[in-house]
Amino acid sequence: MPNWKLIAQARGIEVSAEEMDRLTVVLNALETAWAPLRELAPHETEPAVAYRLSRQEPQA
Amino acid sequence: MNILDAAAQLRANQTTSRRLTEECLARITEYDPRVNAFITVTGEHALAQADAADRELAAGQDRGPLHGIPIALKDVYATAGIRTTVGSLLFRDYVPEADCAVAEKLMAAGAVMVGKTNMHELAYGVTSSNPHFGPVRNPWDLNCVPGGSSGGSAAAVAARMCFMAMGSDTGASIRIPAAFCNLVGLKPTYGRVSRRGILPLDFSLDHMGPITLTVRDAAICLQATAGVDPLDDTSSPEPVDDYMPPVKVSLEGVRIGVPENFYFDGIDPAAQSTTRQMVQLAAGLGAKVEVIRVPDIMAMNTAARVILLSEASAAMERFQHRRAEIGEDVQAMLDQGRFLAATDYVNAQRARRVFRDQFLEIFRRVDVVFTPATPTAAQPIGQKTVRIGDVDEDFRLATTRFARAINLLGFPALSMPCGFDTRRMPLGLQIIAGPFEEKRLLAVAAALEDATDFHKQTPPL
Repeated sequence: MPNWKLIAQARGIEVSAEEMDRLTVVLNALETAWAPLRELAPHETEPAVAYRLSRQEPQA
Repeated sequence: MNILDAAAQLRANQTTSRRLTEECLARITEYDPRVNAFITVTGEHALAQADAADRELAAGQDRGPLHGIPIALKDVYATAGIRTTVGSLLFRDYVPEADCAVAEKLMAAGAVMVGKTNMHELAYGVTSSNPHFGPVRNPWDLNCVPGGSSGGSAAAVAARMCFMAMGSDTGASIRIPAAFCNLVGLKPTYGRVSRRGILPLDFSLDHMGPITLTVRDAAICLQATAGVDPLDDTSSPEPVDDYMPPVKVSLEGVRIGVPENFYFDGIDPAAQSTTRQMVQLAAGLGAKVEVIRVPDIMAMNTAARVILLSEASAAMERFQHRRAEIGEDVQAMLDQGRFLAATDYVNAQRARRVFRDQFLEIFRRVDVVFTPATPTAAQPIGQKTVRIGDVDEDFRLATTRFARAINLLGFPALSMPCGFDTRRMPLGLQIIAGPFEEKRLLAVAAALEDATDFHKQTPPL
């Protein structure tokens, strides 16, 4: 499992020790479920995020 | 009385918009101190709109079936000159200068807005137990949650404080409260209804849709709100259909997929039996039932959670210096998202295309898929776990288990009344269709509604 406490320190995430303990349980569970899926998509698959452009009308 | 009936009465001069609005406001006055469905009630504003609608209708200017109908908006929809809190202290004094796209369209259709509904803080949760504006209570049992995050919208419609209320659905937040409150909740296809002017929780999973008493009312609301919006990059140019199901709907030849895996595991027996009864009903009405295998829904839920946690934390990062003003459960999820790597977010968005292709394959063989909307009915306020069989599960994860994955797909889905559990708490049937197949989705649901009377049952307020 990732060392969530070190990640918190590195990213400046300021939470109490009690909150960190609770977060660790949840993040470990998510990591366990997510780890096998990281490489699910074939290499050429693009992410499903929206970014569209259209031609801009010239200003009058 | 539903929207269709009220619209007919208005045109037959059997009622007026003012009378309908006054009746809704009277019910808000009587019941909302207990239900807490509203954050802001716009009584004077509504009566002025109602009078204008009556004048227009009397002059023969008819804007369609929503003209003069009292409605409400979840308090995540920006409304010009009317406070829009998003259920949060961060926005407690936020008064938008402009309407969101949906409000623009509903007002253009002549709807009368009676208020802004209470919700889970920042639309980030499934209970609508808001720490700042108080918990919304389920009209079917005031000790229970109405579901969320659009809990105030569902409670308001269930308590007949308005004829419909708009919700938003990022991880089942329309369908869960609809199921828990015996209502119809429609999550349209991603991009079908503009998101412009709605505070984003999750850019790529947020969907806007109505919560109504009946399927045909949902069709009316979708008709009024669907369509391309050049100011919303995620809005779709796909043509808008005529969504209203005919008076008599036939299911002859309609192919209904029923999953043999996942959806009937670990659920309340009542949720299982009520869903299966709806499948039998559909078959009796001429539908062809096919057993299908669905992809790994828990994997889809996990990918959806990675996306949701990442996007919501990114959207709310600017408010982290005010974390003391954010409720404990919401802040915990905002913190979780800040731990995730950018690579995980991108890979979850890539996995999304894989799951979409798997589901598109299913919709080559069937027209719609039937599942339970939730594994159980509503639970008591404050309860963080739910016992299903011998297992105690996190209430949020259990409640979103059947519906969250459909946000990842972006496909249209609705929840409709299908029966009650042993406590007489409502349960919902989830119907899922292929992209932009809302017309078919609503027609199938209307056929089932016409053959049942679950939607006619009223809460014991």
